[in-house]
Amino acid sequence: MDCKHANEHLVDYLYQELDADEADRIEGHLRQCEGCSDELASFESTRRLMQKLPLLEPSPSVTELLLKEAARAVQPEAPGFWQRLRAGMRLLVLNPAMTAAAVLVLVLGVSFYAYRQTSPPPSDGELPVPDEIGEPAPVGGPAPATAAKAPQVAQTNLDRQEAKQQKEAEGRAGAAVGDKVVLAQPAREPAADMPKGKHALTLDGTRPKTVAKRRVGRRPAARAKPRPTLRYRKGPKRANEAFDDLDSNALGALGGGGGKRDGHKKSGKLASGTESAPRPAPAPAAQAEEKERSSAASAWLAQARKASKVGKCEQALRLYHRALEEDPGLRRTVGPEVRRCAARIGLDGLAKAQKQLPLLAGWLEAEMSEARRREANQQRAARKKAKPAKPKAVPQAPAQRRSYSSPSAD
Amino acid sequence: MTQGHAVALERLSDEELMEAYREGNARAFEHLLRRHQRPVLNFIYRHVGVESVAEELLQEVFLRIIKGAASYKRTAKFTTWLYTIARNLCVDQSRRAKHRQHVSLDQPVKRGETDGARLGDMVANGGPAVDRQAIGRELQQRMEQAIADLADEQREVFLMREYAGLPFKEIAEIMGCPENTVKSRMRYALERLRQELEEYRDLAEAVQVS
Repeated sequence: MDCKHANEHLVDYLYQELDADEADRIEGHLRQCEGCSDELASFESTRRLMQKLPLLEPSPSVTELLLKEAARAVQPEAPGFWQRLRAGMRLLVLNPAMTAAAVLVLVLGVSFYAYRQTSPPPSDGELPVPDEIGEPAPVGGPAPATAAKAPQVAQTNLDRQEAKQQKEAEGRAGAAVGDKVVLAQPAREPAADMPKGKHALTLDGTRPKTVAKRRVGRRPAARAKPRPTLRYRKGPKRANEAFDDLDSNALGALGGGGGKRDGHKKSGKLASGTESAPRPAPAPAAQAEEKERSSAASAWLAQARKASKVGKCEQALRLYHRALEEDPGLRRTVGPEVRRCAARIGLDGLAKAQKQLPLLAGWLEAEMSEARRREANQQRAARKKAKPAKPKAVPQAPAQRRSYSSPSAD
Repeated sequence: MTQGHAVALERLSDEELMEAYREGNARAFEHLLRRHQRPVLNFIYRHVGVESVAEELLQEVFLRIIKGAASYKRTAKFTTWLYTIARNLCVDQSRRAKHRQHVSLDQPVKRGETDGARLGDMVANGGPAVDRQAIGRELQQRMEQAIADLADEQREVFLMREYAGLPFKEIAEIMGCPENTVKSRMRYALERLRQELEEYRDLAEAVQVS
């Protein structure tokens, strides 16, 4: 081995990166060659010197931080609420079909719920017929379906089924003479009182005198002064107005009986002179009375819908009025139905009804102005038809046309 | 964690420890950290020259290891990965501090004075006797300066070989150059250091640098 070859491998030898045979050969050369041996010694000396340079020690805080971070990174952590929510949202965002499906389900659900809450009767036979109206003429005591109950649809359906069954069972207990049907007491009243119940009425809207007397006797304060007209907010409906009912119902359900009434009080959109000051803790008797009233309101409402269905619109309006007298909280529910009935009774009927039914005055007035507008339009159209058709316009004279042509053309 | 487990982890290679950490054993990472943080810190420190910056970069290196643990494959050598990260961070830092000026300890405290107090005289003491301390401090400064004066490639090879004990083959992999080039750079680095510290060679044998 010559010095050149040894020098080439000196660094390898210094750092012991040679295999045993090669290292032996280098060592043999180094024993013979003083120059290469000195070179190696100087490198070893430099290395030893450099190894005496003190080294920095890592800061304990850095070590601690890194260990914590390392432990946290491999720690299996259960996804929290926000992580799961974020994951769900990511899924929705990444999958447009799922987003569309979720929106569709939401819209359908809300629409169905709102529809079941309002359940307007069909005006032209195209809308689905609610259960109460589809029934044969009820002569028994209708059970309160939704008025003072929790707002869940399922519960409402159950109540309706119960009411149906009770109606069938008690159908023949009520008296029916001609077209005058006497309503029995609500289902919770004793059966013996049914024909003479305080809510009894005839379908033409007149209340039996004995019943009226009894009502006056029981609630003199409510009857002593004339019932003031409820102020109802006019103008276009808000898009989310259907939710107001849901909220008020929910509030009512939370607060116990009389949910709609309480809900409207809280929403502050309906100002009623008949509403007394808020009663934080109504007495049991008052609660029972309130319950009774809302049951009665449901009965009136059912009758009104039936009358509306069979085309007796004026009568239906009177029945709606009765229902509102019992439970002003029904205003939102019956509003569209009242408008539909009012649209079918003509201007004279409207004027008459407006005098007699102060609680419906707002709707009737609106409908009257609408009817007047329709009538004016019809008259205008009739006048137009009556006038002889004008002769067709004479074609423009050539001279007039020339005025637009270029002078050079002449 | 029992003593037996700790010993068992101590015997594992870097790659085995990394795999254990990836599978959720945080103690495996602790072993890795204790094994490598000191040489990596000094590698970085000799590269960037500022202790606080070196600590920040050390932290960053191991944070990247933690983040990348999930994608680590055992076929890759852990130290190659580790020093590649460290080197890249050092290069980035050097670029950022390109115009950074080193303050020499020989620089006068007051500008314009040529024979007044020097910065080196104001360095906190508390070590050995004055003579040995003076010699030791001076030697240390010269050694540090000699390392700093090396060409970047030579310094990197020297630091990885001397501080981290990486074989030339691995250094070549980290630096992306042939192994022979790495050996040449090592030889140039040793020759340069020998030249710079020639006058201290005898002294170095007698004086313990503190």
